[in-house]
Amino acid sequence: MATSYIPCLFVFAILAIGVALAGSCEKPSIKSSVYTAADAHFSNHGIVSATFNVQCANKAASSSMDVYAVFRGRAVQAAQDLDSSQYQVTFSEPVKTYLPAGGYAIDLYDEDGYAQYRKAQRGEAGKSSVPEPMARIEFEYPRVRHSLWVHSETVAVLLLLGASFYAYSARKSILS
Amino acid sequence: NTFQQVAMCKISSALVLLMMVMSCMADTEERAQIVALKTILNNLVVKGKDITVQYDLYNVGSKAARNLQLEEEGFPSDYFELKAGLLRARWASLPAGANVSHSVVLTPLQSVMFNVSQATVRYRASEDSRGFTVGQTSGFGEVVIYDTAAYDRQFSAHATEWLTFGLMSLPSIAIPMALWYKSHRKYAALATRKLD
Repeated sequence: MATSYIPCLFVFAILAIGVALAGSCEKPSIKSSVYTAADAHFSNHGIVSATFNVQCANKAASSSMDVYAVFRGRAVQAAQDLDSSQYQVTFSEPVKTYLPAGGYAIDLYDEDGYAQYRKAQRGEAGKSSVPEPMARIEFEYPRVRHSLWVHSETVAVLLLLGASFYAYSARKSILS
Repeated sequence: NTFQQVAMCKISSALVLLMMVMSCMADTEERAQIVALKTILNNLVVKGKDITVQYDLYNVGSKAARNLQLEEEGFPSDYFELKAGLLRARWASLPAGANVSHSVVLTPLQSVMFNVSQATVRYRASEDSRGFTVGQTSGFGEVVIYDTAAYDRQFSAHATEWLTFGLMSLPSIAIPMALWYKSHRKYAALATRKLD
């Protein structure tokens, strides 16, 4: 009778190990697209919006894990689509002083990585350096498009005043 | 800008109301409570130009909210095109006292008066609660989606218009100047010849 339990225990042990391993993502690969908006004339916020998929070598982990995104010191939990396993994270700031144009990177962490990141931020003993992110999304932020610094009406008025002054001085020199 | 001022007024009054209600109730139960605010980050909504809609979700309860879902049905695809972001999003949990912000970028396709209404928020108020608590974000009200022509008439630089005006007024300046210059040259030449 006792021997019949052993296969059950064996299967249960395998399952337990499987469940424990499914928590962490092995060899994550990211497919991402980033939308950036940098228009100071029309809107007052600069937007960086990253949409990405996470593929893990162990399939069980990829659909249910929490992903945290860190960008320039701000950490945000990524939202997940209700219908697919796509993640999305957005960073927005007032655009006038947001980002100079250039290359930037968003670091992605899973739960354990994010816990280590928070410990490193708090400066706990033994954790002085920020952990390696699970993945990194790199993108280019464009140059901010500003509206015209001076209105065209102002330019027109200035040109008109200049032309009038020239005409007046020319008339004066002719008449003299 | 006024949209944000109105939105800040709405969120602060919503929070004040909520705190009053909660202090009146005998708080026997520990649960999560989500307050959600929906704002449009742009000053103007113009057809063909991107707008950003931001959803701020605050957990003002005493427990973490589980399986927090945001569903936005108020931007139909014949009126708005989704540029970036998810209209249906979820977060596994939101701790008590924490907040999360979600943004969606849309492009209006028609210039109409559009009513930006509430999105739905649902979550499990505590770990052992059976069903979902369903709530709504704040609405935003009617917004005017301007036509590109109306927007340009008011806000664009009008550089081409000024250039056209300059070119059209050039003949009435250039022709008298040319005539004067012709006679000036003739008399200047005469004056120098006389001196010699």
